[in-house]
Amino acid sequence: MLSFGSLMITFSLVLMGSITWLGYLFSKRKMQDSDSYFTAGRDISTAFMTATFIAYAVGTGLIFSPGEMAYLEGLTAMIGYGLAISLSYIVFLPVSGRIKELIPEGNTIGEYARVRYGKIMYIVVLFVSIVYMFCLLAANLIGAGIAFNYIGHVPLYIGVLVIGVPVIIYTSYGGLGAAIFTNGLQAILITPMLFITALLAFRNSGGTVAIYNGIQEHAPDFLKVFHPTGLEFALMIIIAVSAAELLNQALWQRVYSAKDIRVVKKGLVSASLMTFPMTIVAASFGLMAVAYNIELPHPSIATALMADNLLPPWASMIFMMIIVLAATSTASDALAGFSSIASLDIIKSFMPNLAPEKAVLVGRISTVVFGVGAMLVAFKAPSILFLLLTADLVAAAAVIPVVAGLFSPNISGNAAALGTILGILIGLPLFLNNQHLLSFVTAIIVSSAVIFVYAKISPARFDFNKLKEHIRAVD
Amino acid sequence: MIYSATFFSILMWVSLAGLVVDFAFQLWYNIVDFKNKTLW
Repeated sequence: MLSFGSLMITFSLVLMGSITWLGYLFSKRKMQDSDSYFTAGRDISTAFMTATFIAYAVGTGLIFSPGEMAYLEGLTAMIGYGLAISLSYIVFLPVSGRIKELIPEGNTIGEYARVRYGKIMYIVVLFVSIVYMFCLLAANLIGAGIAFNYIGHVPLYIGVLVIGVPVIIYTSYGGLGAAIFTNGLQAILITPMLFITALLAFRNSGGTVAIYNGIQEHAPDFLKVFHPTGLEFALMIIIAVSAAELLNQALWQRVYSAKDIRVVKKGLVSASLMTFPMTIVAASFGLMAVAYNIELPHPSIATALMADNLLPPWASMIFMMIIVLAATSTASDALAGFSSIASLDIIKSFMPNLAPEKAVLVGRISTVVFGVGAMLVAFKAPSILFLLLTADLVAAAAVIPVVAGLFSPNISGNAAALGTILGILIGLPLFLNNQHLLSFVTAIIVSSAVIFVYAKISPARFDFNKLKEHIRAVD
Repeated sequence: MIYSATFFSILMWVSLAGLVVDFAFQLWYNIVDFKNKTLW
């Protein structure tokens, strides 16, 4: 008789093997030129655009962190998390339109920063993007690893490898196209699987009223609308996630890959509406853990542990497959984003005449290197939420300088770089001192103040046509 | 001020129902794009 852990590994390998195989077949058929590798042929339509936005959001950042926060801070924090994921796509709407209008042949966020602001801000934006994507990738691998570890009693590194290796294989081979195609499969599988497991969990926990009564008994403060730390977290996470998504190479890349701006907007609005209930349902497992007064062996394991406690083995296995799908979807998005930055920004800075085919090769090698690096960090299993929030803070400092440059010609590169660096330097100590909301607000205010005051004193008068002139497709 | 049990129940059940709507929309988008030969 196979143990639950062995079955987890077997099912995960079958699932990941199938997705990798489909991703490979698709990439082989669709990859016509080097540009396809980085921007998926620039003809993605509504179904896949919506699916990729959903699958991107539904990483372990959605499956684990909202549950972790609900377990630690209660209902207001949980609703805040749902709003954060959902609103971040709405906030990105006007920015996506501007990106598509100004940079129709774009590939990365870095090239925008280079042309718009010059070298210093280019380096700052690359740093922020890489840190963010690395944390995102590591967080997703950790999510899968701890699920394997605590639920299946399988060593953490096996979970990380079972997820990490297939994702690296299909993303390095097919690039963004493979990531979006597999996102389509992952999104459409995750939704009904989450519905079935959550419905069973509600039933087996005695229903929503029983969960409510359990919370009231064990942590009555968690039901307060204005629970101070919960409210602080809710506000912080809305700012943090919105800031991070505005600067996210994965989202910029999807704007470039879309057939037209109508597709992007429809995808963003649909994903915004669809991710809210998904977040609430996933986070409710954290509240169930509160209601059952369960002690957690790892802060990020609330959701998976409750699912395992409440569900019959077959349904628990389905939940584990949700985790596998969620982790792989976001992980492949982060890898595809990084491969573009590594190849088209970093290596091309040193080799401006890099041939398109060589750029793809560099993209593939960097995907492998980045993926292996994230797996090594994941083996140490820090808190997913902490990892994501650290990345979000760095993004918060850079978000206004980067985004404002799309709309105002008066912001200069020096001001943008200075604002971002000061925002990080002042925000980070506050963050490490556990003043989370203050750290995010400070980082944003400092960077905004620097760029707008500087723009008033010394307007840059940037010509936006330069973006179209200098940023071109790879082929 | 605390969340009521009714609010909590409604939030949970509406979110669950939202997953069904999500799935229906995803299928619908795929069918429309497939019919228009723009799925991929």
